[in-house]
Formats: sequence, structure tokens, C-alpha cells
Amino acid sequence: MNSPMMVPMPPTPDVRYDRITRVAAMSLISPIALLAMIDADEDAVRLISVFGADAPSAHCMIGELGTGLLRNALAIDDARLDTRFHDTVAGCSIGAVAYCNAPLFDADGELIGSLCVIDTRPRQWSSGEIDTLQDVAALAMDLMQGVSVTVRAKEAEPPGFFSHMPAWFARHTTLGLLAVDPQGRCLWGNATCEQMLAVPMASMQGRALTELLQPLQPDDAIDMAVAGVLQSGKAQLLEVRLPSSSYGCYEPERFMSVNIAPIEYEGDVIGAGVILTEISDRRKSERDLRLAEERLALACEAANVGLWFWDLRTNQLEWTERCRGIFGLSGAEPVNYEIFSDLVHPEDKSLMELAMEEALAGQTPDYHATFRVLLADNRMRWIEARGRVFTNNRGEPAHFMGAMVDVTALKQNETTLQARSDALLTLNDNLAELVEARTAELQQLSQSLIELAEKEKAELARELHDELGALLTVAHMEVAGALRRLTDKNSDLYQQLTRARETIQETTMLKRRVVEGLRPSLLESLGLAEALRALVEQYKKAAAHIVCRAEIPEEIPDLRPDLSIALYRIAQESLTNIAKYAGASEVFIRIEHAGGNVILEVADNGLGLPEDFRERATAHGISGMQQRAAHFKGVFSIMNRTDGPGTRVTAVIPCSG
Amino acid sequence: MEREREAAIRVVLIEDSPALRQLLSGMIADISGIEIIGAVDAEDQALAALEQYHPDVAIIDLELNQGSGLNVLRQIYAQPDRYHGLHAVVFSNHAHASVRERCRMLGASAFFDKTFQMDDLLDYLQGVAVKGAVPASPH
Repeated sequence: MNSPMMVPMPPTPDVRYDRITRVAAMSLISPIALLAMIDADEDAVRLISVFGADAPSAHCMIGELGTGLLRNALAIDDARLDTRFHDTVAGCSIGAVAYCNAPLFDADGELIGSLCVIDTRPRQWSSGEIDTLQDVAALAMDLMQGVSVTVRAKEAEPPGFFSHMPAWFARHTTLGLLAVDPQGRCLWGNATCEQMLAVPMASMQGRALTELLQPLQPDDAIDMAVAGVLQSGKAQLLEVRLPSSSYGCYEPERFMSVNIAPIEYEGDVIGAGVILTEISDRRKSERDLRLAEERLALACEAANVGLWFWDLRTNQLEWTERCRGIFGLSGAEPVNYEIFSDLVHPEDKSLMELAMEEALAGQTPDYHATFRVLLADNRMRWIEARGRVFTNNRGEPAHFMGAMVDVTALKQNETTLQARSDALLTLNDNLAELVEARTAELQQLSQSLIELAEKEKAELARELHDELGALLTVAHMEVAGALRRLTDKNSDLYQQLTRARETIQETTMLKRRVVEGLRPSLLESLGLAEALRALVEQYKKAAAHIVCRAEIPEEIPDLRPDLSIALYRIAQESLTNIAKYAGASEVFIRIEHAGGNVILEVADNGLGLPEDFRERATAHGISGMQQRAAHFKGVFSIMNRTDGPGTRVTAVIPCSG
Repeated sequence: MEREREAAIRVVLIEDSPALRQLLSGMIADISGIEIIGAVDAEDQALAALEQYHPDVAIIDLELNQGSGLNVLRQIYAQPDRYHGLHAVVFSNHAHASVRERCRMLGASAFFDKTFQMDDLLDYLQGVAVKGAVPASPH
């Protein structure tokens, strides 16, 4: 350092330095202000004035900050969030939270001291407030320099310098300054005051302070304050609103902090000095903050959300009232992470902790966990917690905050719903199985019935044909033989025998029709192809209005008799249905032996299937056809044709099996 | 059989019903010039008898105890040399037009409905006996 600091330490307490700290505290509306002298060479800091705090804690504060921090102009809104201050500030009982510092330099630019203002709650220092502090700091610098100059070079000081200073400050300060007489009438105001109140000095003079400023409440607050100051000789601080005449009707309201201090002369209070500081921004911020807080509280209440704030550096956990309520804790009980962790259900603890660790390690952007807690009265609750880790400017986790919601009712509903859904699904599965089993049983029964019916028909047909048929033939031949022997064709006996023969012939015809119905004889004698051809011929005669076209090969080889009957019956049933219900003018029947399957197709150009055809009388016959096909492991379908009007029946049945 | 002679028409009866066989044999035997040289009730026996006796006429029922009359017809149709000169006459209760047509296709000379055409069969045989030869197919 080129020029050694020539500042002799003035005697303390020095009332001049106390004015500086008081003005600094008052103008920034802060509870505490400190003024320190610094010997940069010795790295020594010495407290020379304290306002609003006891000397030991102020010493502690200054000592902790050290020259390193005091040399910088700083405005810290919340020192708890600033690692530079966190450790030092927390240690001192002064309770510093917000901190604004103005370093003091001599004419050579050497650091000679520091003026700092401290608030015990977080706040946003406005640029106006920082400017003000610098103004006051300049005053302190001049004072210290003045002291130095006084001691060192008294003769060099221009005469009238000190008497000139107040007027200079009054002109240049951003504070509004007013002087009032003991009756509270305005005597003088500085230019800033004229601007603030939008009232020229001339019209300001003689008016009561309460006319220039509007009390917030009660109505006589300003008068009372002035009277109090004059009576007690003690300063008072209050906040007021500017009258609406001092600003445009579309502008937002303006607020002032008013510091009223007594002016004494020779032991008597002769008036009061009023320092006005604009606090509209602060009031607005406070109002916005309050509004935001109210909204948050309302939202939390409506959603039953509890908020938590965890200072990771101090490990202090703060819970809102509602948050405590969720955990069954009263407002008086202490809260910390261990207490919280102990309440978490053992089965859910590791998951909750994992989510928390991942959030703290920065692996997940947000913390989200759902877990159970066991309350003191053994009740269980489901909690859904969400949160976020906030880091300081070095990227280290600083605090962790979030919300918790009691989701017990939701979880219970979820569980109940799940149980019901499971039960329904099981029931559904069981029903499906039951239906399947019953369907299979019915199908089997139906097939057995068809088989039985065919078997009985075949048996009956055989007996009628073989036994009855043979007997009728013999009887007929006997009669015919007798007739041949009779020579008298006119005799009664001849006539009688002729009638007998006719009766036998009619009986035989009847028998043939019955047998044919029971078991198409052609199937047995000539096979399926021939039988189907005969069926078509017969159909053409019976349903003359329908044109019947058939594609039947000469022979269909190697068909088991029961399969032939099934195919014949399907064809027969389909043709009958068409004649009865389809209103068709054309029928096409086709049978083909291909790829180990027999394919039978019967199509018409009629009305098509009604939507409810499976509920109609024909359903029985359709079901029968289906069963016949299924019995031989075949596939049966009946549907409306896609290539035109009408219906198509298709059966594809494997030959082997 | 007491009136055996050189020109007699020789007939084999293929019929599964014993009663009918007996009745029919009796009736046919009454026709002079016709000789029943055998009566069988199954396909195998029928084919054996036809080969052994070389009859002029075989009266064939379609239903047999074993095999079928249609198969007998098929064999005759398939091997004209073996059954040379044989005339097959079908006598059956399966009188459906399709069956008749099938029999005709297989070379049957005539088809008679068992119930309604016995007289026709007998008249046919009578005619054969008189002419000493089987007439052309009536179809």
C-alpha cells in the first residue's frame, strides 16, 4: 500500500457515527445498522457504531464477515440461502437474514470502513434502498475523511465546508425530507419531497402533515405520531399512503415509510424532522406475496395438501399445520427427518428413501413417492409426496421442499375397485368356462341324438325293407301265381285275388316311400353322387318354380356310409329350406372331392338370411346340419352371399377320420 | 327238369331271400323251355356259378347276403369273354329310375320291379323260351 492509512480511531461512542447508523437504519427501514472502521494493513476491523443491536453480537457479526466480505458492495436478500454468509451469519445471535453493505473508501481509493444494514427477515433490497445506503455511506466517508482532515490538515479545509454539507445532502438525497413545527405544520421540504408529494414548497408550507400524507389507519395516526414524537422526544416509524392528488388516477397507489424524529435545540424539542422513503414496490411485493400465500393456503386447504420445507444445511424440517395434521402431530411437537422416517410403514420405507436419495443425488428431477404411514394411534394412512431439490449457485443441494397429500381414501377405493374387478374377471372366466363346457356337452348330446336317430332310422328301414318287403313280395307273388292259374277271368275269386294283389302293391308302395324317407336307398345301392342326382331330379319336380343347377361328379369314391348320409341330409335340409323360406328362383348345388375333403355347397338367389335366423324355426335344422358336420370334424357355414343376393351353405368335411 | 332237352334256356337265379328263391324257382320251372340250373344268394357264389355253368340267363337281385347284384353286373360287364353269351336280367325292389339306368349301363338286358313286374319277368322268360333266344333289351 503506497500511502499509509492515516485514520486515527476516534473516541467511541461518537454521537456523529451513531447518527450515521441511525439514518442508515431509518432510511432503509431496517432494525439494525453497523458502522465499522477497517485497517487494511493489519486486516483489522473495528466496530465504531451500532444501531438496533447489542455490541457483543454486532462485534461477532463484523468479526465473522471480516475484511474480505466488508470490502464489497453487497445486497443479500436471504443470507440463509447464500453459502458465503450461511455459516457466519448463523453463528451470531444478531439474527441477520437480509444484509446490505456499502464499503467506505478514502480519497485514494483505499478501503477504510463499511456501513451495513441488517434485517432479521428476508427482503428484496430495492435499487433505491441501495442508492440510499450509498448516500449515507458517502456521508460517513466524508465524516471519517473529515476527521482525518481535521487532524491532519486543518488549514487545508475550505471554510464553511461542514455548514454547507446538510444543504448538499438535502438537495441530492433520494429521501424526502420535511421539517414540521410543534403544531405539526409543515415548515420546509426538500426537492425530493416536492417531487414525491407533487406539491411545490410554497403550497406545502403551513399545511398540516396529515393533509400532505394519508394515514393507513387510524385516521389520526399521523397527528398522533407527531404529537407522540414531540411529547416523548422519541422517533417513530409509520407507513402512509400518498394522497391520490399526487399521482395520476390510473397509476397504482403509492406508499411511504415515514420516520418522524424530534428536533432538539438546547434540550427542548422545537419540532420534528420527517424522512420519507418510497415503499410502494415493497408494499406491492408484500401484498403480492401475501396474496400468493393466501392463494397457496387456500389451495392447500382445498386439496388437503401439507407443505414441507427442509433446509439441507441446517437439517431443519418445517411442516405446515396441515402437514402435521396428516401425520397426526400437534403444532407443539417437534418435527425432523428421523421422526418422519419412523412413522413410515416398514414395508414402504426403503422405496420412499430410494426416491428421496435419487432426487437428492439429482438422478430424478423431482421426488415422488407413495407410501403408508403408521400413526401413533395405529391408524394407517396412504401418503403421496412430491418435492423438488433446490441447489445453491454451486449446484449443491440447499433445500428440499414439496407437498404431501393424504390419499388413503383414494387408495381404499382403488383397492376396492381392484378387488371388484378381480372378482368380476374371475366370475367372467368361470362363466366362460361353464358356457364352454355346457356348449360342448350340448354339442355332444346333439351329435349322439343325431347318430341315434340315424341308427334307429337305418334299423327301421332295414326291417321294413328286408323283412316286411320280402314278405310283401312273397305274398304278391303267391297271389300273382294263383291268378295265373285261374282260367276264368270273370270269376269272383279272380276279382277278389286281383283286389288283394292291388292292396299288396299299394302296401309295397307305401313301404317304399317310408323306407326312402328313413334311408335313401340310392345311397346304399348307387352311392352319394347318384343319390344327390336323384334328389335334385325329385326337387325339380317338387319345386317347379326353382331352376336347379347341379355340379355333381360321376362318382365320389371311398365315402363311409354314415358320412354319405350326413352329406345327403345336409343337402336335403338346405334344399328344403330354400324351397320353404328363401323365395329363390335359382338354386345351385355342388359337391366336390378335393384334398382329402368333401366340399358341399348349396347356394340360392333368394332373400338372404334374416338377422334373427338363429332364433327362428329353421334354427333347429341349421343346428342339425352344423352338428352333422362337426361330428365328422368338418366345418359348416351358412351366410349371406357376397357375390349377389341369397344365401350360401358350405360344408367341408374330411373323408378320413 | 324232367323235360330236359338240348334247346332249353339255362337260368341261374341270384336271390338272397329263401322264400322268394323257392317261389320264383317253382314259377320259372313251370315255363317250358326254361331250365333253372342253379340258385345262389351271394355275390361270390354267383360269379363262381356263372363261370362254372355258363347259363344263358342270370336273374339277379340287387340285394344279396354278401356283396351286391350291382357288383355281379359290373364283373359281367367288365369281363365279356369270361361270361360270353350271358344275359343279365335284374329283378329287384330297388326300382328307382337311377338304379334302372345304372343297370342298363352295366349291360343288363332287362329290369323288373319285384313287386309290380313279376308277371312281366315271367312273360319275358316265356318269350325267351319260345324264341329259343334272348330278345334285345326292352329299354
